[in-house]
Amino acid sequence: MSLAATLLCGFVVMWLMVTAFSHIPPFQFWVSRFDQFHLIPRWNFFAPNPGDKDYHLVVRHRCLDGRLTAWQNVPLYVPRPKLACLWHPQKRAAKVLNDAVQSIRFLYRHEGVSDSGLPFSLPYLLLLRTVCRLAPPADDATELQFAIIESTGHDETRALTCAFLSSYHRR
Amino acid sequence: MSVSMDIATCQLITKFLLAAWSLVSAAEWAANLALFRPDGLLSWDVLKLRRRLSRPEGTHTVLYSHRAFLAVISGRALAGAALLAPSANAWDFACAGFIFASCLYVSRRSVFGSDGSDQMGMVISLGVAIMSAGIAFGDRNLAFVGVFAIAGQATLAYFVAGAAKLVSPTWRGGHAMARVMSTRTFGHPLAARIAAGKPRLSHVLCWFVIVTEMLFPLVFIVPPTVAIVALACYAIFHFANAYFMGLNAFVWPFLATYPSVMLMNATVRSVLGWQ
Repeated sequence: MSLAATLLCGFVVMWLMVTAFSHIPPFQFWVSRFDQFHLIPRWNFFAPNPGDKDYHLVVRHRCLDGRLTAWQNVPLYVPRPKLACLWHPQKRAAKVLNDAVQSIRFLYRHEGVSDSGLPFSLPYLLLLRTVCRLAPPADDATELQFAIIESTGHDETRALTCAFLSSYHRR
Repeated sequence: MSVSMDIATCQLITKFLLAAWSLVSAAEWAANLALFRPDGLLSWDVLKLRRRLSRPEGTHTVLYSHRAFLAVISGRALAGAALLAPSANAWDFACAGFIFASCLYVSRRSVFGSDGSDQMGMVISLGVAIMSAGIAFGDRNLAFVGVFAIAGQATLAYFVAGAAKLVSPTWRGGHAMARVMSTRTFGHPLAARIAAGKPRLSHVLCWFVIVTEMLFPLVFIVPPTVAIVALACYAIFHFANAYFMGLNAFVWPFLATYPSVMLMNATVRSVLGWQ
């Protein structure tokens, strides 16, 4: 066996072992901390918690007189096309929103980030910036607030719940 | 797929499937270029604030701009197209290597939005690069390391996916399928109606997924014809996911693991003296 084959074989064995261990909770934190290029795959598709919610970003404004506008949907992605089995670029924006929501939840539950600390986190800033760009304010709007709405179901009668409510931010 | 497939054939089939994935994924990322613009959902102006990216900001700003992102994924598409050459050649290593590097770049740049198909695409590109280097240098052992890497990660992918579902009360209780299908992001109205109307079927399907995913490692020891039938069933599973869940990009990289799995099947059975 050549030196190159031996070295690469050693690397692959290590890679497989670290991948396997990275799915065991005590090791997850350390692997994700050092794996900046996501070289270690995460294979736990739709488990332990299946992706059982759709997420929507909504925004409202507070006007000069203190009045709150109605919640307005921020159009991040369009519904899945009929030929999504062949061509489905829309899934990326939906996945970004999904990942941002999960990231906010992780910061809350596992990293002990407080309400006052959350606005300085990456997912929060991404959503805030997007809301500012995509949601045109009322003429006399002074502040905005965004929320993440969870939904499930395919028809219009589906139930909506608020998963996250931001602070007010000056426009 | 021939039972007595050699490494060259394995590399050829795998690189074609890698090429298909590279072209589809590059085109889909290109269609999402707006996400990466300075005012996009994945704006580098925000993502650069990550703790571990506090150094040479100027370099990062150029390297991770939406133009640089477009250049990288265009390169991925070109490399994928070059891999469609009908025989193994000296360019295969460079093309697969570039696709691998592009996977690392996209992971680093996007932070959010990548999925399992991107991860398996990375695995396949690394495996094809190693296989291609082995074939180019006439080093069979080196080429086999690429086969081992792909087959090993494929085994982990299926087994871990099954094990993670096994520890989930939602999957064990048979509710996961109905819940996923009832979303607009990953579900399907027809499948949601069926799952809601036939909870027993939904329960059986949940357990079917758990068991079949966890049984994947058996493909290395069963007779080759059984392994081929099993892999055909796993392929149908991925086609079903593409249709019902919109997971189109998963099909190519997961199918690309199967030639390596078949080669490992022959090797394992040979080592065990079963053929």
